[in-house]
Amino acid sequence: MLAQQHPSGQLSDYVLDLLAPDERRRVDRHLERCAGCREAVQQERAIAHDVRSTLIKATRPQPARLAQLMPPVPAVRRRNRYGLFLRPALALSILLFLFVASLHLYSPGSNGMSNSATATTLAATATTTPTTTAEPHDDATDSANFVEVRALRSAQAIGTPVAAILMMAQN
Amino acid sequence: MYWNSILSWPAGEVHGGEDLSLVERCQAGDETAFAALYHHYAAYIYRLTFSFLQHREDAEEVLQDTFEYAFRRIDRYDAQKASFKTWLYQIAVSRCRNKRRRKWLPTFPLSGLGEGEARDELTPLPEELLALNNRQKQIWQALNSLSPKLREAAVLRYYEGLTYPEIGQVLDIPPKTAESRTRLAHNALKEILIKQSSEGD
Repeated sequence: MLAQQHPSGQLSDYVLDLLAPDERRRVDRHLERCAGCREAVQQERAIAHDVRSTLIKATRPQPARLAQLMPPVPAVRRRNRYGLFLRPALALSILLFLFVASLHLYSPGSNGMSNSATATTLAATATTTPTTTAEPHDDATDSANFVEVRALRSAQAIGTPVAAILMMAQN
Repeated sequence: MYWNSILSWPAGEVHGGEDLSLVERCQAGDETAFAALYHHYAAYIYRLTFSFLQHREDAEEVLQDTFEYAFRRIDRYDAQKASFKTWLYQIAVSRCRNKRRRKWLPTFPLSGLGEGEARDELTPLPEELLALNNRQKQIWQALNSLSPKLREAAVLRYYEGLTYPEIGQVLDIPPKTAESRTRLAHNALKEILIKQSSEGD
């Protein structure tokens, strides 16, 4: 009678905690009075226990080695909830400042250049035209050289922040 | 000081709140938080990858790879979806699978096609495993002879003590599949160990 009720097929699931609550209670009641099944359950549990103890022993890490294996910390951009707004606002402010500065620098009242386009053109010319030559020079040549050099410097001064802004926009 | 907790692993469990605070500091760019996070979890991940791959160098490589990826993608971690530990385990499992696939493909014989899932090549016991007793060596070999899918389930259940829904989350499978894989792994281990014992007698 008792042999027919041995839940042998359920003992693995019992150990693995896979039985429904009512089935588990039924196996519990059986185990209280069946030494054979209790031993079988112990053997099932021994598998889990042995796997665990084996892995704990076999995979023990060496702290010094683990420390060596730490990957480099990446450069994480700091989160700023205002960042999305501030970045374009900053770029716009710089552009506005440069625009106003260029208007002031190249206004007719300040020695010559009328717009930045002309300055850039002259800057390009200045890079290919030597300013110190053996040609006879007069006041007019000096004045032209002065304008070219100034235009080149201004173009460089404007070009650097503009390049920086473009890089910021790309990033 | 961090390494003391690793030596006593797996006794020390990191609290969820502490995890989250560390992750938030990492997301804000705090370099010390990255180091703290690594020191908390490196041993867990190493043990997991070594158990899955049963090869020390591969386990170390995957450990590094896992943290390198996690550090880079820390912004994408969402505490609403999973605990940090589960997220890290998911990354490690995925990398273990890639590692196994890369090692397995070049040596896979065409004659093996259609014979079910490939098993890992039986590797000799590494030096550090020579300290195991006979029973533990048998267990190690028995785990090695399981298919990778069953080994994953067995390690996560017996070793990590995860619940079936947690195993499902880490392995990206339904909880019922996690249950059936664990059952299959258990029965296979039992069969192998009984066979080994009878051969030894």
